[in-house]
Amino acid sequence: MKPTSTDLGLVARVAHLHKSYGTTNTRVNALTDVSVGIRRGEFTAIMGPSGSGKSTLMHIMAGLDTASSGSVWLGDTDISGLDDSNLTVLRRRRVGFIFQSFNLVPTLDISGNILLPFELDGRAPTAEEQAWIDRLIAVLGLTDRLRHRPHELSGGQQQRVAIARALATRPDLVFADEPTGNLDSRTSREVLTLLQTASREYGQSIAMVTHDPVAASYADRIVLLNDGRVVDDRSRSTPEEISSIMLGMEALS
Amino acid sequence: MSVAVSLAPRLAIERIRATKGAGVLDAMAVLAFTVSSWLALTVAGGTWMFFQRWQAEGALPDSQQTGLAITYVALACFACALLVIPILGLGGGAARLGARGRVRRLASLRLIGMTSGEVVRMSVIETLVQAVAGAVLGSAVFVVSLPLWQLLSFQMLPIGFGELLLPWWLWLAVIGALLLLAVASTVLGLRRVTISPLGIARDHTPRRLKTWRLVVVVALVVAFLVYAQFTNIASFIGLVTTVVFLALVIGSINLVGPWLMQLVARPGARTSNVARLLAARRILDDPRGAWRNVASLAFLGFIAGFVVTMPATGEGGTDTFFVHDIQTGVAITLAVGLILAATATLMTQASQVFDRAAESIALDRMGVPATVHLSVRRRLVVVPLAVALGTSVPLGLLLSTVAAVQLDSFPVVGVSLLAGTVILGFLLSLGAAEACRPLQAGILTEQRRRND
Ligand SMILES: Nc1ncnc2c1ncn2[C@@H]1O[C@H](COP(=O)(O)OP(=O)(O)OP(=O)(O)O)[C@@H](O)[C@H]1O
Ligand SMILES: [Mg+2]
Repeated sequence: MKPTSTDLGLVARVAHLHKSYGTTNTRVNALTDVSVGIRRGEFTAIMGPSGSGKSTLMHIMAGLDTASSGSVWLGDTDISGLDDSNLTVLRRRRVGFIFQSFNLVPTLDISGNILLPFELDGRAPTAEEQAWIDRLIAVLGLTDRLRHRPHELSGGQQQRVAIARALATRPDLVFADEPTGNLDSRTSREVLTLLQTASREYGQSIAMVTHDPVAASYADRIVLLNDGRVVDDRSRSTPEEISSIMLGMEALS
Repeated sequence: MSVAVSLAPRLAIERIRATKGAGVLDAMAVLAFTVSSWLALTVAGGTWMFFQRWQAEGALPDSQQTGLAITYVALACFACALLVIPILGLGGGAARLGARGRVRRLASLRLIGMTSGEVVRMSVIETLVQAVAGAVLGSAVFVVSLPLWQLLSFQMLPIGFGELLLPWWLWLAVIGALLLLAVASTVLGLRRVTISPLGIARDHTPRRLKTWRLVVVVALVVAFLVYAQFTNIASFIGLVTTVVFLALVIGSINLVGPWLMQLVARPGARTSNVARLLAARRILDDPRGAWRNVASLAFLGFIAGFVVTMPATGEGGTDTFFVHDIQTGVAITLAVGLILAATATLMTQASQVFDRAAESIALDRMGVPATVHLSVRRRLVVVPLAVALGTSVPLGLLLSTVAAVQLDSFPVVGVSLLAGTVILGFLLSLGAAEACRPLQAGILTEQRRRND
């Protein structure tokens, strides 16, 4: 029998993944034969130049988009065969999202936004979960802002709300797509440190898409994509190392 | 179910409290449901009144009127048939209101784990809340407006205070039909845009509308004209089948309307005049939407065209009261229609302001001046309306030949009603476009955060 993802210590995995967009005339191969696993408890960065397929890979791993061919597992569940509503339920129980656009519900206040995943699941947080949420809110410095609405917060604060919401349910895996894309460098550092802390201290698995070498240097592991293929898979590196690899890649392509 | 039930009202209330823009749309949806239920009840009430006068022994002063009583019922039913479509259209429009804005908002809920079924249920509940509020308000307006009708008389009898009041079951049926329609429109509207969690409401690329639409309508019109030659309208069955057939023909205008919009707009998409180009592109982008904006007025134009010859239809010996009553009835029908159309136009215009917010902002940032926006809006009103009336008025005139007997004089009343309808139709639509200017300005100045 093949080993399951759990046996391999993976929270998400794709094998021989292909993804193309468009029809035969206007075909774009966004991903070509990608096989990669996200390890449990690790902070993984997915890097690559613009258009290399980072977002596409993340969307497919999270079940937001479908593969053209290949297999996709979330935990031990093969999600390529799931229908939309099963996929949605799986997503809301096991996955958290932090996007460049914060995806907060503008009409709910901060507290409403953070609790929304529980509400969608038709339950209230348990005492233990509530304690965790309170801690998140305190660590993220949102205590005074709970009654405000997203538009009354700065970009960095909104992103912190999105982080709190993504971590609140303690999902198996948090996907972050350019979470610092809209933030200045100081706020970026804050947000990245938070993600790093969540991973180190609470064992949160995180997969973060970025093209910023500094952001990637916060991760435990860096998967490099170029032109829809995995071209490198390395452990923690300095921004300088990452930059030089990226420069080399751009020179090649 | 539970999620949708618990979340929908909360989100709706929060939304009304939080954002000025969305509040306007919600208020407008309630207004539309109010107007449509008020007028639906009024029209149904009038028909009920004639029905009762026909049924009750000795309700009418003399035998000649007693003989005509059934005709009044039939004509009232006819007016109902004519107004059903704009009334339902308004209800449906209210349900569709701000659909794109809604889609964007719902996408983030999809992302964090709301299933598409839950999204639909939640929207249905939102719509139902608005529709029920509108139905309650509309019923209230209906009751309050009852005394005013006493100023009018039919069959030489003033309208009595309680005469228009519907029995509870009829009231329930009318309101129930409106609510059902609202729900159906919401479900269908959301089905068209599959709300993806990635937020890109995959707007279907507009397909070129096919010519079969025209063929169907022409075939129906010809069939109707032929059919009418062989039917005796004077008999009850003949009248009913004619009315049903006519309703079918009227409904089919909706098939050809979008096609016509596309036909007229296509040359505009190849011009260098910015305003003309933008207006044409928007029509081509959504010809059905462009048609919907003017559909109510097109029906009115049709009705006004259809009735031009009506007042002269009375048989030789008929008293002037009959002609007078018909004129009153026609005027009421047209007035009701104009109120419906004005509300519908205002609503679609406002909703488009929000639906097109992103595009307007982008154009504004690119330096497209405000005068161009205004010119685009006016074109978007006038061009489709001209096309719609240019089709529906002649069609109404053509079909009216079925009912008309020979005209012994120029139909002054009919023609002035027609002219009045067309002029008011244009004025009200342009007025609605102007009324949306503050909304548009608000969208452009609002310090929108890039991501919410
Ligand atoms: N919906 C789509 N239709 C067609 N092509 C698409 C679509 N989405 C992505 N692509 C193409 O797939 C390729 C990979 O896109 P992707 O968004 O994954 O890149 P990325 O690595 O996230 O880039 P960036 O850093 O700019 O966000 C690109 O060439 C893009 O043009
Ligand atoms: Mg990307």
